[in-house]
Amino acid sequence: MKIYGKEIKDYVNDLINEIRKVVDDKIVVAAISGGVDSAVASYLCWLAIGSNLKPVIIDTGFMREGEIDDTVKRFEEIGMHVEVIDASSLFYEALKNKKDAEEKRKIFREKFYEVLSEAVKNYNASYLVQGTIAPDWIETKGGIKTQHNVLVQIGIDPEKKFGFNLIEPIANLYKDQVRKVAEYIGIPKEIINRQPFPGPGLLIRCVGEFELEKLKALKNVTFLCEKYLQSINASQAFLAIFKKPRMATSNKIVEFLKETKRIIGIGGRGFKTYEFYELATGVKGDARAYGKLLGLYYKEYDAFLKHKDEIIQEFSRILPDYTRLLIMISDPRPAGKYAIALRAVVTKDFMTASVPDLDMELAQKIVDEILKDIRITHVYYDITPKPPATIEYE
Amino acid sequence: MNRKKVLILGPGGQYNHLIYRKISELGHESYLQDFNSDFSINFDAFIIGGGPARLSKNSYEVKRIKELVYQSSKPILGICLGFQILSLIYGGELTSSKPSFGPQKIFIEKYDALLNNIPNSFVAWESHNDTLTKLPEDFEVLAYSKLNATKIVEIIKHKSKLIYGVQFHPEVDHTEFGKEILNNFVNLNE
Repeated sequence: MKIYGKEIKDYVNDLINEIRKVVDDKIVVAAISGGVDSAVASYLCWLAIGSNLKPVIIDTGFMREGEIDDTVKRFEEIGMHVEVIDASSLFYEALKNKKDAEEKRKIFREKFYEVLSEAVKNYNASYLVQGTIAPDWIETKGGIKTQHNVLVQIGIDPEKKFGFNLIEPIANLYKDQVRKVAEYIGIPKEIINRQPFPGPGLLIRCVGEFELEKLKALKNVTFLCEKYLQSINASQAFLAIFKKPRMATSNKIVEFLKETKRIIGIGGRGFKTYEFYELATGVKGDARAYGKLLGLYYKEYDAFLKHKDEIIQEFSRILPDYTRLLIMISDPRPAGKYAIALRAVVTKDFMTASVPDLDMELAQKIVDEILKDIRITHVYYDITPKPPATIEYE
Repeated sequence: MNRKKVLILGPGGQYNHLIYRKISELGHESYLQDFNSDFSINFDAFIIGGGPARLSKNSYEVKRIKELVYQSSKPILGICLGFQILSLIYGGELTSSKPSFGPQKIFIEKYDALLNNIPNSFVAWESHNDTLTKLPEDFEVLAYSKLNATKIVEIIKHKSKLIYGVQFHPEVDHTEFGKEILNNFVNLNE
């Protein structure tokens, strides 16, 4: 097995030697998230410098139910003791009522490094190791979205700003390569196979304005659907929450609907279109696109799913201000103030992503679980690939 | 197989580092360089990658690659924005009314060494706001896609030089036969 044309054994040995050379006898704090990237980056350091590595995990308040405890347990299995830092109230306070996706991400990054620099001081450490990988800095540098773990690549000097230097041993790798390295060095398979979860967590899945009630509703439906989300045949499947969208139309939307009906071969009535209040991040022609979301309802919605590639091409052409097309998979009910989107993608490297076909029976189970929460009124399936969308909404 | 030295010039696009990855995985020496820095022409092949720029024939990107095209006789492949840059150097024209993002079906019109062992239609992934509407001089069309009844140019080749352009992204994992196309390109001079 090779990484960039080098045998994996040599690739890993070179990384470990490099870390040893750079760090010498200094103390290093490791920022653990529970995902495979930070696990690999920290474990490589662990192999290089042993107990001079001090792993920490920040409880941002945006993790899923039980996630912190699980992570701590997994790391105990490989001999690493992880310190939990509870900073949830700090994050909630700073993010309350913030709406703009980039503003939310930047505040998150600011608080994230504030907390970490405290930890670095407490441990008298000189370095912070983190699991930044290629798509993180490529998207941040390209202005698509601010990943919370990218500083140096965009000209921020962590030493000056936060008082430590960074070690990013796997910054050149993509997710599929990281997983190969993880297997090789013996990371537990629960961590390797875990679906990616963004650093800012559920914050960026509470699309638009951040409110505690919205977060609680999202945590609840995510918990209710967890086992079904795992069984979707996807590289990543998750839920996001929005304000209940309004029915809306325009000349352009009518034109798009006409093309859609032509593509699926169904005419007539019974189609409804909804416009969301929030905006979502996309990537079009290598540039960031922060655009509108359109919801589409027709009782036999599988007609849309069968022709989704063609529909999306027309969608991008006719409605250039939009970045997402969501198909309603529930019947609209009047009660409730929020809508939930089910997002599922298939990808190896997370640079491009396709949307898998949805098993109708499974979809119905997910809808039933979600609608148990009376705060929810619509459930959608997002059929937008990356590009023109990104995987997460913000 | 001969190990080739390939220079990738990246004008700021999302997938240029993936070109670097794919060329290394094919067993070649791969160099990814920022578009703005000086580069040597001492390479076996050149790839001009993608980027967010919206081009006209006087754009900086076009002038910069014009020098390379006139100085080197080695194979050159333009991908996405790179395809548009090469097209504009040779008098092609672009429109902004036919963008394409995500999967698109490609149909081969004419076979060439670049398309060795590639089936006559396959799915490729795209991400472009601008689209070629006038073919550059001295170029021919190797493949196209369809927008309703209109043919959209997807792969072009210079009639007498080893200069190629593809509008889609062969370097991304979702493009079928993408790696084969890159491999064919790097081995053009064999």
